[in-house]
Amino acid sequence: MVTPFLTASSLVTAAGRGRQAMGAALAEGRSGLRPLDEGGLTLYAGAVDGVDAIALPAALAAYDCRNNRLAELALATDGFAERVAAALERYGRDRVGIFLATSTGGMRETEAHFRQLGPEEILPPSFSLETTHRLSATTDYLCARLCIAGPAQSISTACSSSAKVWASAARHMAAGLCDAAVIGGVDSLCRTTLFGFNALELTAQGPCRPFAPDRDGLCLGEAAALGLLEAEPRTGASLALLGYGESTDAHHMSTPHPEALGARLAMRRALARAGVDAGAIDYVNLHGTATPFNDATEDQAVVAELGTAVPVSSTKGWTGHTLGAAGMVEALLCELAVSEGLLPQTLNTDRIDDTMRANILLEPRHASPQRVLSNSFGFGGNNCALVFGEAA
Amino acid sequence: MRARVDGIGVLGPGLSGWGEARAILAGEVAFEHAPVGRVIAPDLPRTEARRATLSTHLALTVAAEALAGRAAPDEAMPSVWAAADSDLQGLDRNCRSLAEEPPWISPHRFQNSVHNTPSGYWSIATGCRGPATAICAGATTAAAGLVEALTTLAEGHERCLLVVADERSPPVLETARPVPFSFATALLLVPGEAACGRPLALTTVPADEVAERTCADPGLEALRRSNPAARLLPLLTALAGEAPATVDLAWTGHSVRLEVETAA
Repeated sequence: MVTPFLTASSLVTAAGRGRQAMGAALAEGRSGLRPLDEGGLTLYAGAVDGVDAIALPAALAAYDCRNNRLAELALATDGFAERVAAALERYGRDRVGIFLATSTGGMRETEAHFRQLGPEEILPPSFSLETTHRLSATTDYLCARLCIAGPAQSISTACSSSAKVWASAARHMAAGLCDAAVIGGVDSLCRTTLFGFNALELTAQGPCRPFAPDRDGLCLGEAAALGLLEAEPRTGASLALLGYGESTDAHHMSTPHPEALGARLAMRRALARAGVDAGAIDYVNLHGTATPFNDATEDQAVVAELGTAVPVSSTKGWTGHTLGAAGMVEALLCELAVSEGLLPQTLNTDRIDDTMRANILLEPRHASPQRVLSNSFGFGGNNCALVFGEAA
Repeated sequence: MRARVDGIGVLGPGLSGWGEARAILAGEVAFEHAPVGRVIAPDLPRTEARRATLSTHLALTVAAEALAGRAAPDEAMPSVWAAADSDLQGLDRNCRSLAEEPPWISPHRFQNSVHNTPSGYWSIATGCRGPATAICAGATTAAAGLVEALTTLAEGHERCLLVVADERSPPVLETARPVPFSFATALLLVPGEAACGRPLALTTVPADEVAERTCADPGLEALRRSNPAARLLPLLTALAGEAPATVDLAWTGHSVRLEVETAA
């Protein structure tokens, strides 16, 4: 494979907007989870402040929805749009691709339009499937907004979506179809996921507590996490994608394989592609949703593939589970861990379930990780593991 | 990028299976529009078959046809699932129940609402634990699927399954998404140097230099235009004939050019 380098990024989550704010939230152990009322259902969730006030450029007003506003907020964070503009200048518009992930896109607005469905069975004319509802709508928005003319596609494999954008971008680069790519994940809170996870009895009563003995489920969150990948190393590159591993469970639509076979395959394939042994991994950012079954099977998978010594943690306590954006959010949190030399703890959890054998961090740890691994697992048994290294 | 097509599945109005579709697309039999009846995926266990969505039944039916007579998928075989939209019949019902007071959603329909639902059911049906990538790209979904499948194959796999499927719109979405008929197709792709299958080469050309290939038959052309998955009909037409053919498909800033070589 080619080794793509991350040369710019932007991270917007409930815990903070931008690198500095997110770094401070990590250092201070400040969670972005708050009680949220949606249609009479109250759950702790990671909602991003200030999204309603964002305006899209007038020429792109047809794309207006919460998901695209979140994407716009990320463009205006940490100078990301300017960094992409410079890359387009360097490579040419048609040599820069975009690989973007979402699980629900503009679902929030679609739901609102159905609430206005009268007896004539007609959705209000403001409903625009192509520019808001479609899972490709945010990709199309960013394509138009940034003037990207290279390969463009949206990946939607539930909660592994924005880990897989790294793999897809790397494949397109290896095939010579682009020299650089905007990658990322953008997902926003909607009733489908809030009521859906609640109906599956997978939501927590309070802030989620990954790997705690009495953990009771996940908290949803929303986020926009974007990165600029370049096939050639450049000054300022912070992270290199060393390997990716993708798999499916072949077991159940919403429950992980009881022996975590799919998760283990994803990690093993990622290590093999990176050409490193399990012992080379210095930190693992876990999927760690805080549902009883996910955490138990992931612990099993990590111990089987990587052993019990490597420090691991779940960062869902800061951001909530941001679904289609989670893979990219956590890739960027890995980037912060590598560049700041600080491994985040498993926030909100003060005691680890006795049955867990992995080295789950309850306190932040100063370290100099050289290679880190990030896990993302989704509905449909879709798994992706990424191995990152320092760009230097 | 080079590859060979070693298996084909097709399902659409008047196109029930590759055998029937091949004869129509080769001009041996006239195309007659006939609605796609109730489709039941062949490989699903009974419980899963009952819970599966229309998109899932469509996708798994063509996947099974493309793999018929070929070795069963092993643990590592990758697959690419391209669809402009997901489970729209389910979306309709979910959005209606969420609009009630109090709002609610069926847990089964919620877990089926993800874009990779067909791929999830297929892995359960076949036991395949290979990489599975579900993508969308609006009107260029099928072209993007081909590119993703060929770049995946280029990682060094022996085979890659591509499934492109879009279901008809439920009545409430007909205005916003005028897709009156479901269409699905699957291609089993093997490396260019393999000993079996019909060879093809994929290159890219600037979009403003080429026009997208259309279908000569007005009925097929209407289908091609209305359903994003049916954008592959010109490629299927080329595969139905014996002669070499070039097919251009709209992609992004570029078009995808597929050069299908003479049948062996």
